[in-house]
Amino acid sequence: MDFNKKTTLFRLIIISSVLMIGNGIRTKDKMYENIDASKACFRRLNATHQIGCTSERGGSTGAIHFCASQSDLDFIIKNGTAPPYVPIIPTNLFTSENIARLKKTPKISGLLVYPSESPLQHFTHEQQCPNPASSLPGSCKATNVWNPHGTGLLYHDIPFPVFYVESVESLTFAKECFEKYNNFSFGGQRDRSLCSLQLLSFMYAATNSSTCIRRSNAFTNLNPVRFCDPLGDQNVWAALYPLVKGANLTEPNRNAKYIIVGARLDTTSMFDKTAGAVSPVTGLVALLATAKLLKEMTTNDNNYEKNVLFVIFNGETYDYIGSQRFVYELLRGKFPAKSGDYLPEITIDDIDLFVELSQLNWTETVVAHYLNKPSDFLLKLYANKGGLNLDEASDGLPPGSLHTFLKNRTELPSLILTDHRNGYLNNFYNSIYDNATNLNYVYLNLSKSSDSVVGDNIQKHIQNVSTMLAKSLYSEITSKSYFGEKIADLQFIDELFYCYLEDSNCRVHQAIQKLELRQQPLSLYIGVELAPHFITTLVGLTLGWVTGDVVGEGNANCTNEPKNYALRYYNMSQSLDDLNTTLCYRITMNFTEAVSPAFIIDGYDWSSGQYSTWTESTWGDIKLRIFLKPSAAHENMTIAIGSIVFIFSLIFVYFVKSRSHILFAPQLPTLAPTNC
Amino acid sequence: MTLVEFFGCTFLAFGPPFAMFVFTIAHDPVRIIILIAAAFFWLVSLLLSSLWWYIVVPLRQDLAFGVVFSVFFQETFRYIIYKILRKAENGLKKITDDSTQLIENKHILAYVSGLGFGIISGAFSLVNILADAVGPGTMGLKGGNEMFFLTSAATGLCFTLLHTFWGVIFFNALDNSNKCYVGVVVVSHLLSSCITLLNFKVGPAGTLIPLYFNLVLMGLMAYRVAGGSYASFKSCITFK
Repeated sequence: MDFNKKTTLFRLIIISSVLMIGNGIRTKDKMYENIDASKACFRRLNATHQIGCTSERGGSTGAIHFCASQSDLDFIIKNGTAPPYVPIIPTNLFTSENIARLKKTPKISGLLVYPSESPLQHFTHEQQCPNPASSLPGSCKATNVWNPHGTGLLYHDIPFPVFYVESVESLTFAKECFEKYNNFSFGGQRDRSLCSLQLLSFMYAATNSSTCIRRSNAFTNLNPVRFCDPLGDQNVWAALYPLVKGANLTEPNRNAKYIIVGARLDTTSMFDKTAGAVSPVTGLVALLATAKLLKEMTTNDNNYEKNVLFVIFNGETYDYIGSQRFVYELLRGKFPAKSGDYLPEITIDDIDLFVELSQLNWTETVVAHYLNKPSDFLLKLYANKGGLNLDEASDGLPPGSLHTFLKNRTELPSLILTDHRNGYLNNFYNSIYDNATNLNYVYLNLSKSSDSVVGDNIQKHIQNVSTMLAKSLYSEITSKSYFGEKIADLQFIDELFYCYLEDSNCRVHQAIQKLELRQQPLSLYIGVELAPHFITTLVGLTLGWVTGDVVGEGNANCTNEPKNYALRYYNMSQSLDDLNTTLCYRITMNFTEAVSPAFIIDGYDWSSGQYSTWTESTWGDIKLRIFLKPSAAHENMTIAIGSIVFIFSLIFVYFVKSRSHILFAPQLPTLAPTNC
Repeated sequence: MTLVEFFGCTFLAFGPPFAMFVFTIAHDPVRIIILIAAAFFWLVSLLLSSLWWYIVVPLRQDLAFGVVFSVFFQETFRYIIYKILRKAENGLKKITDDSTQLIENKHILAYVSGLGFGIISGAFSLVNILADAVGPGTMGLKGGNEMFFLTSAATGLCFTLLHTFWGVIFFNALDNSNKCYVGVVVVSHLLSSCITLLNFKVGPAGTLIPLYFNLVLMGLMAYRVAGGSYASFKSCITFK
């Protein structure tokens, strides 16, 4: 028996510090089983509310109740006799009705969610009208909401900790423990030890962003504590043509007009894991493929009238953080950074057209949503649509970065390309299930030579959309139609999906940089500005690669080219089929801050609702562990035995001490040595 | 909340030594010093045991090896502290208030140093376990059973008291050059320590019963050695 081994071990501590040097096993290791706790639900705050989950300080504990169906959950809420409980439920029970019930009952101290075996019809915890406060008023009608299955749970304040657990071993352990200790004679649960869970995810921030920022900035002691951090990252942008001209490329190219092609980079989910296949990856891939094709079309053609800015906005899920900051800088003449002496100042009025690529799942029709009809450009899209069905809709604009631009310049000609006319066709918007399966994506692993792909698939659909868009943009900037044979690169599209959905150590990422990445998708959650964000850098380099100009062979001198605010030089692979041959690329890609202006304006009025105010709480440990909670009877017995022995020994020793002169007869000093 | 368990086990393991300390040691500074000195010597024996264990690499996995040598180290240090105390007697006479009692009744020094050994060994065997008992859980999830903390505390208490009794018997035996009693102490110590190795097989009750049997035996022996008898016991409880 293992237990006895432990007793022996601890008897042996008497001998030495053996255990510390030897194997370092502690009693704790026998009592607690740590399970995978990487996907917690945590707290975020805005100007008015706190949302998300938190445990108690030091962790919430409760007896495990493993639920396979709704009836199991109902049973424990109704009949549980030894609260608090921690139900472990499949994702299909994670509904707003159930959460509302769990919030109401005092019997629940936490919740674990595991992947349901049966496929789900829908799973989206975004609101039915995403970003209601920062979108244009009237763009989401009660009769026609954009996210019809949205439960809005993402924006609820849940008073108990919630974790998503995928690890099969952890779940099996929990289930076996539940069967062994808990899952019988529920009436007598109070009288026996129960298999329990401790959920630790205590969130330091509370109330709202302004409160926690104020508390974080209060220098009341020498060791200030941060309670929350603004959500933030970087936007990625690149210009089709450099913003500078002249022989040395040092003279700003002023008074140009621009077309912005935008997409978003981020998604979110209830738990600390994102998927984001339909939103944002489809739009992102379409943008990158368009940029690549357009660059190929215009490589030897400097006869342009307008420039194209490809902008990938970050933090759009949380009240358009990226586009708000972008527009904030446009309006103040701060875009691009260092504009003025070295670069042209771009203002919002320099934008002739705004095209946003939103969710573009493989559907029959691509829908162009607009408020200010860009008639010319629409005609060009129709002319270049090839095999696609193109439709238009002008009754309400779906959520997107365009809202921020239109708020600041109402007559901006613009459109959003999506796969839906009314509500989202994506039933898993902003959730862990918006994955490759939701997109019906299968990796084709193409090489350049084998371009013949049988059948239709999402890759071909994106290829068609990108080709249509790139051709239309070509005629928009050069005022002539494109008669070439070039179409969007299917291999590139296929690889990009693979990068963002399955394996970040993919060929595209190997082509643009040298780091070996982990063989899993990177998180698309915006995160806080202090933490590093690999995905943003990688997307930026990819955009730079496809829009860059080759200036020579790849070598160490490349990165030593004269520094310039408009241009950067990188060694990158020649093509996806030839990763080892590097060339020197001159790229126009750059990053801009994607932190809400609310956090950089002094004395910002938090109640104004003008800018995104989302912050994320800080936390200490995030931990999940299974243990055996002793019954009250056992605890009482232990304390009773201890106390009785203690009190009795006090009396006994006092008695012996006071009568020791009688008890122990004085010894004769001349006692002779005795023998055995 | 097993703060409850924590306090229960603490009271069980350290309650009796605490009572002994309060009523028999605390009033005399010299006794406190000797108690601490004994505890220090026990720690030195622990250090040497662990060094020895560390040096003999091939036998590191064998608990029995460590146990046996640790017993010998402890008994050696009991002998060393005996020698030192006997040498220090003259000095102690000068600084203590009730020199007559402390020096005349040689069992007091033996008892105090034995308790010093016992308290520190009890503390070292239990502190880690008690520290882990504060969390929300108890033993039994991965093998073992709920009684673990209680039986560990009981074992710890048993060894604290055994050390006290061994101290009394051992010192007296050396005073009287009674090699037989010295042997009894060493054998008893070896036996009790090795019994705990059987925790694997016979369960907590199986080791606690022989341990406490040994404790009673040693207690009676120490009582005899210190001058107690059935007659004095009778006169003690009948208040004559």
